[in-house]
Amino acid sequence: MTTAHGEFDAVVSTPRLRRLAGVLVHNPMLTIGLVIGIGLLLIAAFPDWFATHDPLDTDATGALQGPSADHWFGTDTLGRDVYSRVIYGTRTSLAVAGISVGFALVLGSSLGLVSGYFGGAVDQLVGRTMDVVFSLPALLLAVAIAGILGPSVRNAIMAIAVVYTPHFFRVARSGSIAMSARPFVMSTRLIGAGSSRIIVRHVLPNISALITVQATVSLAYAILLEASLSFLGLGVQPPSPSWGSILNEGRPYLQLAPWVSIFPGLMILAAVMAVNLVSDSLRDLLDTSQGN
Amino acid sequence: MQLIPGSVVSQLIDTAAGSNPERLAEIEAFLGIDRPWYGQLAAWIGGVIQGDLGVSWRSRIPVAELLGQRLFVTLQLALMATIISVAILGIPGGLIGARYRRRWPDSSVRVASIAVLSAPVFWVGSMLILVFSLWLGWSPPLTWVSPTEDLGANMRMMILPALALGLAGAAPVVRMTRNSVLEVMGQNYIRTARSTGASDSRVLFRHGLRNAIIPVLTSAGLQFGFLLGGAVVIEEVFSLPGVGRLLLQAISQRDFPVVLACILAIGAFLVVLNLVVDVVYAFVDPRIKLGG
Repeated sequence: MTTAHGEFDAVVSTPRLRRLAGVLVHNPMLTIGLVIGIGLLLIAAFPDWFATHDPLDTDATGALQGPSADHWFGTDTLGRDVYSRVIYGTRTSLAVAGISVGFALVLGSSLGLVSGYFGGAVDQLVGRTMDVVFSLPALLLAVAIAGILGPSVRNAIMAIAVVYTPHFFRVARSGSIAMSARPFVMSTRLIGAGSSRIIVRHVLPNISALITVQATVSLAYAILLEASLSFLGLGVQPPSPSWGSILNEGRPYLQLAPWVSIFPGLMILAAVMAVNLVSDSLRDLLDTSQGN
Repeated sequence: MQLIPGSVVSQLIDTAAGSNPERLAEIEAFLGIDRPWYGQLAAWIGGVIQGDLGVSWRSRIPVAELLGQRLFVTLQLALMATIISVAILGIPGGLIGARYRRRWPDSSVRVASIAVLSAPVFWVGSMLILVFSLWLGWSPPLTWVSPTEDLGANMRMMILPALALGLAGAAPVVRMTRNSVLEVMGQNYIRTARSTGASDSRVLFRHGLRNAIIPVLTSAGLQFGFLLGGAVVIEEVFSLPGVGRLLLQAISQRDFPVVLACILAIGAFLVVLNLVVDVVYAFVDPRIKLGG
C-alpha cells in the first residue's frame, strides 16, 4: 500500500518540483534570497543550535574584547558574547517585523477590500484617514507613535503596524475595485451571492498575489524600521538582544569596539537584502507592475 | 494623530507631578490640560492658525524659537542628501544602467543599489564615522557651525551625514531613471535622432534623459520626504542639532507642544515640497502648462 501511495505522490509532485527547480534556476536572485532567508529563519527558530554562549551572560573581566576564536564577533561593554547576542537577536528582530507586517496585512487588506468593494462614504472616510498616515515619513511616524506610547516591544509592533497598514489598504482597495467590475464578480452577484461571500471567495483570492508582493516589500522595510526604533531606544529594551538594540548599546563604543556595531548591522543588511531579492523576483514572476 | 493627546496627558502628569493631587491639578490647569482633549486640540489649532505654536512644557521657551535653527539644520541635511542621492548617485547610476543594459556595469549598479537600500541608514552613518575618523583621521567639528559663519567647517560637518542619507535614497532614483530612460530610448524619435548622425552621448543626454526626467523628478520629490524621516536617526548618530533630535528629546520628556510642532513642521514642509515639484515639472517639460 505504502509503495503504491508513494508512487502516486511521486507522479503528482515531480512536475511541480521540476517547475519550482526551473523557476529557481532561472532566478538566481530569488534562490540567493531564499537561501539566506531560510537560514535566518532557522537561526530565529533554533538560536541555541547556533549560539556559543548565553546572550545575557556578563563577564566583567572580558569586556570589549575584539573578535577571537572564543568570541567570534568579540564582546560588548558587559563582556557579553556579541555573536550569541546577534544570533538570539535574530528571533526578536524578525518576530517584531513579521508580527507587525501581519497586523498591517490583516487590517489594511480587510479595510481595503471592503472600501474598494462598497465605495461611497465609508471608502472616503477610511481612504482619507489612510492618506494622512501614508503622507508622513514612515520613520518619523513610527518614532512619534512608539515614543508617545512608551518604549516597549509591544508598542514598537503597534507603531510599525500602523505605518504599513495604508500600504496594504491601497493595494487591496485598488485590486478590489478592479475585481468588482469584472464580469465574473457581477455574474456571481446575479446568482444571488452575498457581499461577504463575494469578497472572501472571489475578490480576495484574485488579489492575493498583489498582497503577497506588498507583504514582502513591507517586511524588508519593517526589519529596518524595527532596527531604527530599537537603535533609538524606542523598541526592544535591554538586556534582551535585537539587532537594533545591540547597535544602540554599541554606539558609545563605536571607535573603541567597532565589532559591536559592525556585525549586527551586517545581519540586518543580509536579512533585508534577502527579503528584497525575494520580493523583486516575486514582482517579476507575478508581473504585478507596481510603481517604485 | 488627533487621538494621541489623550494618552499623552496622563503620561505627562505621571512624570511631572508625582502623587500630590493638589499640585497635580494646579499644573494641569497651568498647562491647559485640565480641559478635555478636543478642547486642547481646538486651542492648539486656533493657536497654529494665528502663528502661535505654543510654549515648551519643559523649558518654557516658545516652540517657534526652539524650531527655528533646528529646522534649518534638518532642511540643509535633507537638501544635501537629496542632491547626493539624485544628482550625484541616482541619475548617473540609472544612466549607466540604461546605457550598458544587461552588461556588467548595469548588474553592478543594480547589486549596489539593492545593497544600500537594504542597509539601515544609521548603521551606514556609523560605519562612515568609523572609516573616516578611525582609519582616515577625519574629525568633523564638534559643535554645529552655520554655513554663513564658516562654510568650510559647516560642510565638513554635514557631508558625512548627508552621504549616509543620500546613499539610502539613491536606489529608487537609480531604478526609476534606468527604467524611464530605457522606455524613452525605445521611441521612434530616438531612432530619428540617431539617424541624423547625433553622437551616442548627445542622444542619451539631449533626447533620452531630457524626456525621461519627469518620473525621475517625481521619485526625487518622494525621496525628499523619505530623507526627512531618515534625518531623525542620522541627526542622532552624528549629534546634529536638527528637528529629529528635538523630536526625540521632546518625546522622551513628554513635551507635547514640541512634538506636535516638529511633526507639523515636517508635514507642512512636505506639502510645500510637492507643490515645488509640480512647478518644476513645468520648467523641465514645456508641454506642461501651469494653471491650464
